[in-house]
Amino acid sequence: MFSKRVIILILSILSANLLEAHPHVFMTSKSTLKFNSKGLSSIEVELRMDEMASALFISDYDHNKDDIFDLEELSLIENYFDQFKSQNYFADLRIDEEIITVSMLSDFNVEIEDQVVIISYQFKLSKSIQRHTLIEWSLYDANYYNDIFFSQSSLFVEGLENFSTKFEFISEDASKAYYLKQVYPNVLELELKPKSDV
Amino acid sequence: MYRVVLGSFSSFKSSSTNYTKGVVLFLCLIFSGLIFGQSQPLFKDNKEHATKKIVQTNSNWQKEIKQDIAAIARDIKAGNKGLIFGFLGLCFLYGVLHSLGPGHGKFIVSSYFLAHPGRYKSALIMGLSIGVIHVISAIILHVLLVLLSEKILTVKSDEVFKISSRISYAFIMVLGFYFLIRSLFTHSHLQEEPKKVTIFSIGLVPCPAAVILLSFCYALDIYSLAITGSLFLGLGIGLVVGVFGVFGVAVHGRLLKFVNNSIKIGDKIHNVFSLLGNTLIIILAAVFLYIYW
Repeated sequence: MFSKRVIILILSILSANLLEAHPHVFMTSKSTLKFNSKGLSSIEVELRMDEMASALFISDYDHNKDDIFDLEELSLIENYFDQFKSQNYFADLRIDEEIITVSMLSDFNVEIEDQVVIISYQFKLSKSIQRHTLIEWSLYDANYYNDIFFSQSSLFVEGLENFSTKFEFISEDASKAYYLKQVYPNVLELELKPKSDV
Repeated sequence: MYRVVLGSFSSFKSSSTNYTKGVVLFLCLIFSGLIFGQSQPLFKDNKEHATKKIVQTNSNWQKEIKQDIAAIARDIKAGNKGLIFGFLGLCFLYGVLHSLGPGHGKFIVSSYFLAHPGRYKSALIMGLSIGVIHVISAIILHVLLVLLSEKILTVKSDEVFKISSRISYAFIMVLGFYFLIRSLFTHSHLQEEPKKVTIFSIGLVPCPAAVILLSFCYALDIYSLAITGSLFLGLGIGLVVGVFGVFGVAVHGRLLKFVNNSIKIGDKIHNVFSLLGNTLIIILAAVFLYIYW
């Protein structure tokens, strides 16, 4: 009986440490999925840092303190941001369950608005959709240093005229749990079918 | 929701019922590891949902607290000095919630007290010392960043975090090996371990949350308040780390009680616990070293 209680206490200490609540930076996100007549052409992402983390970021990169990131400063930020390539730049994009890897970003930009840092970039994709297709889209930092708020109201789609669609927003999808399987991302599920197929 | 816990602050008034609920929730959050640890094999269904709610709730609370700290800091800057105590209280609470996540040496401290004898008081003091040193490292780092950013433009806070974390966890790993070797080759029960070295090793990692707070307040030109706030944040972190140390002491205390009842088996179990605790220190340090590499 005694040893069982001791084991329970040890397990408690072990498991308590695995309870994640560790983000240092909080970001709100906005993403726009853009379609053309052939399929998914690009995704635009905008991340807004919380005010306090923005202050540190600005002190790190706005060297001349003019509240604008000039080309030289932007280039340094882009180099810094490159470390997230291994994390697919926070993107979890799956088409028919296949994970889509982003090779590079385009239109990368960082600006300061009311002392808040806004990072924006775009993924060029050209994914043709010729039959019934399931697209799953989410944004999160797998290291959980940044907590990216990905909500229904932050999602936009453009150019779906050629497709019949069905949307579902999965709140806290356990199947995509990350960071020691303790954090559950929100996921947009988008079922598409070319109208010509209907 | 965390505001309920802060019922005593004039700016966040709430009913006494809510206050009680808040305190209960707050305590549940702190001891959630205990609750879920007991039912770990059954995580799959309803427990999984409860765990993720706690993680998300904690994260949301932290986000709200950061927003309020920023807003209050601006008000103080504008001349509302009456909010200083609220600011410090929020910094403390932010430290508590923030440190419930991984890192900050909780597990290493609990492993330390699993392996070595200690008292509740010394576990709490050790936790608080780690918390305070954790933010003092952050203050030193921030001062250096401010000074160096004027001279060397390429110094970045995230790089410094990574390097200092690597040094700290490598140091802890070496300490773990030292403890382990001592427990293997000496027959004493390791009464006097270099606790100060352990505290220093864990505290060496500058707390990113404190650096963020300092940067924000530096931009507002209220730096002395930021330093005080950081120390309160460190006390919040230290309290949680200390509580984890107390767990370690409790387990070790139970063991000692058992030893008194059965000297022969007790001695063996005591040695196993020493090995277990020290091995855990090494494994954890190695895991964190890998994460920060």
